[in-house]
Amino acid sequence: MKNFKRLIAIILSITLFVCCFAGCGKGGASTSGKGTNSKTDIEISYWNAGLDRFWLEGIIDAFNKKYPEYHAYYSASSSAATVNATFGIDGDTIDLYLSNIKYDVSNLEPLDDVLNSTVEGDKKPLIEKFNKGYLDFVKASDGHYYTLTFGGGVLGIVYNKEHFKKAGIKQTPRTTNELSLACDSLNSSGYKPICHFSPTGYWHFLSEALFCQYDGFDYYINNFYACKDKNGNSPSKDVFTQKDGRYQVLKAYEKIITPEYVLEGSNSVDHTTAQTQFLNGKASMMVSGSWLSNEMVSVGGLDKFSMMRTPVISAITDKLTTVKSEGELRKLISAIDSISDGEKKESDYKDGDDYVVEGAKISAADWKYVWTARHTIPANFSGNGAYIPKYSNNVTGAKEFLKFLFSDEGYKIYADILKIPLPLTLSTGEQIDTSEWNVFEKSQLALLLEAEITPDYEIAGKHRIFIDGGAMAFADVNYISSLCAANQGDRKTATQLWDLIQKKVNDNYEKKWLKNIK
Amino acid sequence: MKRLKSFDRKSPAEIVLYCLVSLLFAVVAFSYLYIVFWAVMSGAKTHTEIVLAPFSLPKKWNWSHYIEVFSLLNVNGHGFFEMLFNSCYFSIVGSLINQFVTITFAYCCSKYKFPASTLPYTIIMIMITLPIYGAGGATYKLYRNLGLVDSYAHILCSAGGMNLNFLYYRAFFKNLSWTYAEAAQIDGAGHFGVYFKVMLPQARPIFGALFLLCWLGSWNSYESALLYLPNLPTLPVGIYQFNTEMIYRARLDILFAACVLVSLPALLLFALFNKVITSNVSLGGIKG
Repeated sequence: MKNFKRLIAIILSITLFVCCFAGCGKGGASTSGKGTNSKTDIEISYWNAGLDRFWLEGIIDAFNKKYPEYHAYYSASSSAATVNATFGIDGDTIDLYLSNIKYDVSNLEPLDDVLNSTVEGDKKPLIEKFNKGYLDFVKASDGHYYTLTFGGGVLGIVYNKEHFKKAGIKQTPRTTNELSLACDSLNSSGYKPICHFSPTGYWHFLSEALFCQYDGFDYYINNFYACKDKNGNSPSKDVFTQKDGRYQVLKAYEKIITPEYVLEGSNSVDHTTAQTQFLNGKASMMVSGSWLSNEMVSVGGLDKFSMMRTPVISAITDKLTTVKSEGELRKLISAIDSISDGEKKESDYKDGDDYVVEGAKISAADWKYVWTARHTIPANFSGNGAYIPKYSNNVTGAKEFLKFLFSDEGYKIYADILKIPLPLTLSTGEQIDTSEWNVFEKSQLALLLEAEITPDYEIAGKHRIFIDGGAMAFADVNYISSLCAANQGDRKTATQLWDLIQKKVNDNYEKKWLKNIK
Repeated sequence: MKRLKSFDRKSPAEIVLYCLVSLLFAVVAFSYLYIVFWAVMSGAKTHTEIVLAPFSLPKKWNWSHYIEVFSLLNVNGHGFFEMLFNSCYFSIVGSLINQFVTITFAYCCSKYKFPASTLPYTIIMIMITLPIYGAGGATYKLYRNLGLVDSYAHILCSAGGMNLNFLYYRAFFKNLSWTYAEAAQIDGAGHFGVYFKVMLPQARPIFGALFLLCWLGSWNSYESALLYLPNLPTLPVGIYQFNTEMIYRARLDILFAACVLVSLPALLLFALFNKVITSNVSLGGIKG
């Protein structure tokens, strides 16, 4: 009997162990279109984060009315992982994902035809309505577009105008050094200059813009994110190890994100807590994005706040030939701003091929470099992307839905509900109606309209080493909370952080990242 | 001054120890009650008050937040009352089915001699020592192929008698004399009559206690509902989804109000039946 029981126990154990693997096997990526919904249904899966769901309901209602041959409907989750979990699996019926799926173009439907179409009621094709800087960024390495944004908006340093006024700061900082001086003035006036949240507090978005300003968009997109060195080798470890704009960003942050300037506890709160503290005057500046007013409706008071133009990284003078000092750089930026604000024209500064600002000669190349830097706005558009799986049963319907969203009619509904801009304009050349927008909302729209480059932390379609390899965390400047750590022992300088990043790169590049993408 | 009865025949050292232990228990009890009070209070504060002054009393008690929950707590078009219905259905009916199947199974295995009547006991002993989470993929596939995912018929999955409670019921029936059944059989009762009219009524206390524990587990569980019932969300699933949504919308006040409302049934039930739960199931086994 005892032996019999032992035998049964062993057999059962083996059976149960084997059963554990019954869920394995086929069921990964599917391209066969096994969805079961009908050809008229458009099933949308939506990541319901800071934008809430009302805009989508508004668009779906209007779309279903205008196109009775289709029936769009959605399911939502505030967890992106939950939304993304069904992507590519056997039996997935979703026709359109509105989420932050990491780019794997092999499973996605190209959206070039959506962009090249002119929607009924519009006066020009969608591609001409979209911000060029945004399109440059989301174009995949094969030259196609696989995602278009449904939100996310732009980011920047949002500031409390009353605090700035009381601290005697008349002009928003033009450079990162001037930003440090503004922090000092605010601190002396009794205001905590900065607050953020754990772990990187949106600083990583700003880092992208400053990195891009320093090294230029071409290097940023064609070398760094393509993981290609100057000799054309890709992937190349040199891309990670050379002292580029990332190091300069750390040096700039070292003077701004200090324990004296950062609100106590910033390294351990979540983003809405930090935003609530900020909107209640606990700090004067915070890196945040377009979603701020929508997320913080219950707190309100956004009329006191505005988003400033991205300060230009002071180290940019390394790259210029005719602008060598911080003072000259600030004057040049003031001149550029006067043109953006409509106070002056470019011709007022023109001197042949070059420019003259307050008596100083500026080369055309330098002017262009700083102009582009000043109009580089960090964005989160790719973090909120629309994706159509190749295996969808209703690719046509999903594309029609996107066309409607980006049509003048759809964008007006979107902007009316959300008061957040998309990176596109109306085909008529008119502005969207912002009469009911608050001061903050208008400021972020103004920045987007003048943006030439919108770098995004959520890299779209670039080298696999970032997407699958594990290098994503090193695409940016990490560990910035260490710059302002309350505990002296945890605090690090920019150089120490750079060394730490290099160590991580050396430890992981061959052993993990390259292996992961093989 | 009259000494308290509890202090009779106690040395000063014992009295000091007694007071210290009582104080410790009072502090522990207070900490539990304070959490409940804090959650109720937070539900009546504004989001800003919760963030900036989490422990202070609200400037104004906004009880309306507790009403707002009913309209805001919504998962993919499923409102509060729909989720409440799903919760009640799957937790109450599911627990009843589960306990009934388990107790019947345990009764048969303990009171009737047949080949392999002790086998379930051995299987359960093995099953509770093996990690079950590895079987998640297989379970999901099985349920999906049987059409039990996203369906009210998913409740049939509760009808498994092979669980820990089987051991409790088995121990109970092992200790219950068969003479009751013999007496009933003399009066003409058949097997079903003996079970339903004689044995089952005697197991009412343990059945009630284990049912309550099972219900409590089902009521609070969100993992299975999240996985197997995506379009039939229960209240815990609602709260799980609501959690991130309310953080994104800066409405911690509503989140706390929702948590209080959802935990009320469990709190009330425990307050009303705590003696049933704690007196019938003790660490050593069952008191009949």
